[in-house]
Amino acid sequence: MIWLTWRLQRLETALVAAALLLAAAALIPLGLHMAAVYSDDGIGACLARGGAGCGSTVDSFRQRFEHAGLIIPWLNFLPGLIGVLFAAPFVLELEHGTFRFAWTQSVPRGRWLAVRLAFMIVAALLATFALTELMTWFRGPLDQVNGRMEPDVFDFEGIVPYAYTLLAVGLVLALGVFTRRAVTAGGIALIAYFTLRIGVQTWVRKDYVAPLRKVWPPGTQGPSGLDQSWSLVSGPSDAAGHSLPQSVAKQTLMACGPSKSSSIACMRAHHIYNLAVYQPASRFWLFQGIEAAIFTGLAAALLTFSAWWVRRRVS
Amino acid sequence: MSELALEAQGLGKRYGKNWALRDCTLGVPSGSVAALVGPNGAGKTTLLHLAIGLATPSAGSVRVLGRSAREEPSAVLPHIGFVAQDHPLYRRFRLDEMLNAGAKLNPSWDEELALARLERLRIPLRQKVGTLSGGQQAQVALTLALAKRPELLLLDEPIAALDPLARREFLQSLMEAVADGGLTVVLSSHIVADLERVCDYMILLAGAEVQLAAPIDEIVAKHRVLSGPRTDPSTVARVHSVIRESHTERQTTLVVRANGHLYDTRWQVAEVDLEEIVLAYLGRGSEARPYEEVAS
Repeated sequence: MIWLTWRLQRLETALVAAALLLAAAALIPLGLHMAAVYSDDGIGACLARGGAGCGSTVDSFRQRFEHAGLIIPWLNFLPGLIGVLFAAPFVLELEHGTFRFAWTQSVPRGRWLAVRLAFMIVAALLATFALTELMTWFRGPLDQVNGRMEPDVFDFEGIVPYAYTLLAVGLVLALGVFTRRAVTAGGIALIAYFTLRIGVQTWVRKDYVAPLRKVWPPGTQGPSGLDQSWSLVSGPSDAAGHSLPQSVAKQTLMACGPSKSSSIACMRAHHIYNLAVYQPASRFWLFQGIEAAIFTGLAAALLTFSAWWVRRRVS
Repeated sequence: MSELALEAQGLGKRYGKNWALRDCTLGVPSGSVAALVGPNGAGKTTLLHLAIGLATPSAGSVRVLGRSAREEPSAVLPHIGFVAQDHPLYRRFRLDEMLNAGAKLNPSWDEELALARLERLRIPLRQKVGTLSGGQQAQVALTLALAKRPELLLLDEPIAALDPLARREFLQSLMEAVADGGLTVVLSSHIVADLERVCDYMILLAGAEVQLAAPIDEIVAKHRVLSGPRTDPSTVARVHSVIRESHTERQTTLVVRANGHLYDTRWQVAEVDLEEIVLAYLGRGSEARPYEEVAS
């Protein structure tokens, strides 16, 4: 049974391994370079103790590796791909009718189902573990500077990647037992996967806990840890913290004149303040837990449905 | 071992509003080779799926080797060989991997038997299953089923997709396996030709119901075709069962199942072969009554 299960998903396992190796090949050289610059420029010490010129050193590091953050969103498809590939052989078995071979040997259907599901889920989670470790290592220096709350980072670290993978597995299985078409199920599952991911990231996640809201006058120190938080709103506001359009601030400054010291005075004179609405870095694990619970819950429902359907409805 | 290898009592299966199989009561004696015959959609596959436990009955019960495959899969499955329609196999596997799958899934696996059969059939073990011909795949599926050393072999349309030569070879090798002894076979087919040589028992399904279930020689012995001048067949129908009547302007032809001795000077009585009997039953259409006496 275990040999058979392995043999049935050997090809898919190889494909996932190849995708992970490709990602590693792309990220490791850049990651090494980034780590070297981080230690050579003393960014860690700067962040820990501060000091003369530290602000600009950190800023230049941030700018230098901004592009490293840009390639990351493209890797969001990897947990989905891992889930789809590991669940696909199961659907193929339904599509090709070979389940009628498998279930009429000496192994009862329930045991067959348990072994197949367990193997698929463990393999998918192991692949996700490799991906998460790679991303966490790669992002290490950037995380020290920028924190882990921004979606581009949040989605790849901690525990949520496992939940995403499980969701993809659940989607493929639920659609697969229903359609009995591996390509159809995989395609629709990927669309549903991205719809759910983007939907939660855009509309739901920011309100897991009410975001912090800070208003402060120009020229004074803003709230601490803002650099490492997930910034939802950042810009000019009135004294009461109502967001103002950038254009209003610009027009006010133009009316006042060019010099920098006078621009701060100008803003103060016109009662323009700084506003930040953000989720602080300290909420990282709380948000990870909530998001993981949502996606794992969905995945569990889909898996339960699939298992029930296979046990009761497939013949 | 039970007297009946396959036994159904009031067995029915409903998909939505439609009955795929209804009120099916029959018993296939151990040691027989039974043909399960009927047009496409008659319920043959449903009956076999219910027997092996792939499907759950909506009504009644079915037992194989005295037990329910659905309720006691671990006790029943090792003793039954099953080849589903279109003989599904893992197409990405090499043949030796397919055998390995059989070996890993079955405690009673007979590797020697499998290897000997495949060697006789000259099917190379290193070849990918997906590249074998249809006839070879059917033979491989049969080999896998036989290597379980089953007491009961259920085959769903094993010869439907095969060309005449492959069909004959398949039935030939099936007969050899039966000759080795201790095996009951139920094989479904919508083709009646060829089956008479191989089978000694027949179950005829039409319109989701059992029309006939009896030893073939008994079936052939009891059915006759009567022909004579055109007339109303009701006098014959009073004693015998008229399966089908057809009339030309001057002549009436009846296929009847004789109830006792058939003697009537007005009719010319002739023997009728199995295929014609089957066609007569299938030609009756859906208003047909199941043919209970022979079944009991």
